[in-house]
Amino acid sequence: MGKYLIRRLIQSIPTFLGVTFIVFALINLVPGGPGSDLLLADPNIKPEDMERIRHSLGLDKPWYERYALYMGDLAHGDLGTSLIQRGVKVSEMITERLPKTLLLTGSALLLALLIAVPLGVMSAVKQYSIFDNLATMFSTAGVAIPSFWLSIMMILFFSVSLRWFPSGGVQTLGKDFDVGDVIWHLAMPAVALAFISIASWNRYIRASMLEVIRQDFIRTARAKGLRERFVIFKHALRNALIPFATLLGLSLPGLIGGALIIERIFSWPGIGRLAFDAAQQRDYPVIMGVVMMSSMLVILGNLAADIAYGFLDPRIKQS
Amino acid sequence: MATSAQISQSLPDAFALQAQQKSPGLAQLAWRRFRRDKLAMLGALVLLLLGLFAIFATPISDSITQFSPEKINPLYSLKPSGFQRTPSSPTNWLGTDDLGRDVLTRLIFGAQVSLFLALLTVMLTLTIGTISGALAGYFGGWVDLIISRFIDILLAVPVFFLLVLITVVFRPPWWGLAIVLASVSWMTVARLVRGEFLAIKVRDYVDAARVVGANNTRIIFQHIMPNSISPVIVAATLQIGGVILAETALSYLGLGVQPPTPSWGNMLSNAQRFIEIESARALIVVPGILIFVTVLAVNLMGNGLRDALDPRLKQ
Repeated sequence: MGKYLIRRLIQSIPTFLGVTFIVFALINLVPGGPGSDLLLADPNIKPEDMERIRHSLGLDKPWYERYALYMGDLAHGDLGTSLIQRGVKVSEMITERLPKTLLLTGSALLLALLIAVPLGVMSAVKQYSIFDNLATMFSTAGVAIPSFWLSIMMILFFSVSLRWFPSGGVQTLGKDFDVGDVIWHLAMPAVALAFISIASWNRYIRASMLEVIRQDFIRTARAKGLRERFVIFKHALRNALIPFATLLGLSLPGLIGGALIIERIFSWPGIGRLAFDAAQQRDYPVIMGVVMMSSMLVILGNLAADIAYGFLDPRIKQS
Repeated sequence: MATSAQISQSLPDAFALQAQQKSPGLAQLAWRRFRRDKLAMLGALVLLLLGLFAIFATPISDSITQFSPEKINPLYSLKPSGFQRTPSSPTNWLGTDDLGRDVLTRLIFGAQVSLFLALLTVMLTLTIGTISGALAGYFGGWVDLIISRFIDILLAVPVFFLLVLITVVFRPPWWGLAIVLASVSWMTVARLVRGEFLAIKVRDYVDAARVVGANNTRIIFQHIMPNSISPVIVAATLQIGGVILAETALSYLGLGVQPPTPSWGNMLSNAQRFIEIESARALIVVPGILIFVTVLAVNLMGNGLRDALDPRLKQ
């Protein structure tokens, strides 16, 4: 297990380096990058002053040197400073916002699991029943609904018409921190974000369960006279969830990417919203920092999924 | 068709006739299976209809809705569905937006933009994906290593962040969005093609082709590609839905199709400001339903296509 873990950890390093390089190249090597933007900013700046600014920002160095510098700073947790909010560290901006994104995506993930797993199991156990057919219809329709429109519809019904839930924010303005208040604000964005995962995951669980249920050890368990509920949830579900661990890791980019839209619609001040605002203002260090950070989250998530896979399936440990 | 005269012909001729009546090809068999799938046929029909609306957007707006998609008239802003300026003037069947433009006309032109963009994106995706997947699968070794690693890297970045980053840096025109969207969605096809190539390149008939002197290009395009095409077509069809969702989401965020060109996404982001106004309901509800119906139709058709092209996959 230790060897397997270390091997996976080492494998993810070039992936992360690749991500940083692509993001760096996108911003620095193309026309319209930070260097040229400064030139456009003010036509009255004298060329020699321009040179001085470029020098002080390190823009006169060749790109590979700048990449090395950026990576060196990154290793120290330094992502540079914002261009718009002068002097504010990008790493500080991200650490301030990250917990809110983790809260949102974490709740959405939990919610999706709590709904999708029982739904998928029930569908598999009662294959081709009315329940199964309804779940299939829900999934087929669910993956086709644009999440931003679903969010707007939710705001329309639950905030504008019924006034049950707030349409945005993390907590009521001017009120002291209160867990219930935060959950009340969290409900709609979390459901909107979880929706597509519920729709697609329950299909995977169903397929995976159907495969497991047909195997010999399930028949053995039943033949032993175990209660059906025990057979399904203990024996079958445990095995059906193994391939799902990988899928969970693979859906992380979508979930974190989806948070970008959801955070914008529900004014949720997470890193998605930060990235979007930075993009609007062309605040390059901030965009770079957020993309690096979220990619790192995804890579770590995949790693965690692989490790979970190793734990769940003893055959992996031995190989 | 065998007539009585032909049947009475001599035996060798009858054999020749039988040889002419070939057994149905892959496409024909697939079409027979596809036709029986009611949901898939419904999806195809809906898409055909939407496609016709998109293609004939200009004549439709000239003769039926009688409005221009970008003509502003602030006097008649946010009018409810079925509004008429005077009893004899054309009806705003779905009302008007904040600048007094006819919503129905804009929706039809929005279909043009969204569908054409999706089609263009998928064609690009197929081209990039097939070529890179074929190279990786066929040549293996370091070519495979580089391409596969690159795919891994791209899959590790949250796609939507990457899309936002690219659209912000390049500010592409609306057709350029197809390139941007394709650049983050070709990986699925590439992986699929790579897998197919790995499996097919060791088959005997590929060796046979090489023995008779076929070069790599010929083997790739003439011998392996046609045999790996079915799953690729299915994956590409199913990807159209995702592309439409991504494009509308980008346009909604103001990073995709730019106003005044109407797109279902940017119409929604504009409409959201009037969420409290009763007469503007159609403005918010209808574009979303159109996106939903389109994506659903594509997905249903894709599922049908999958079952039709590869019956073994059907559960």
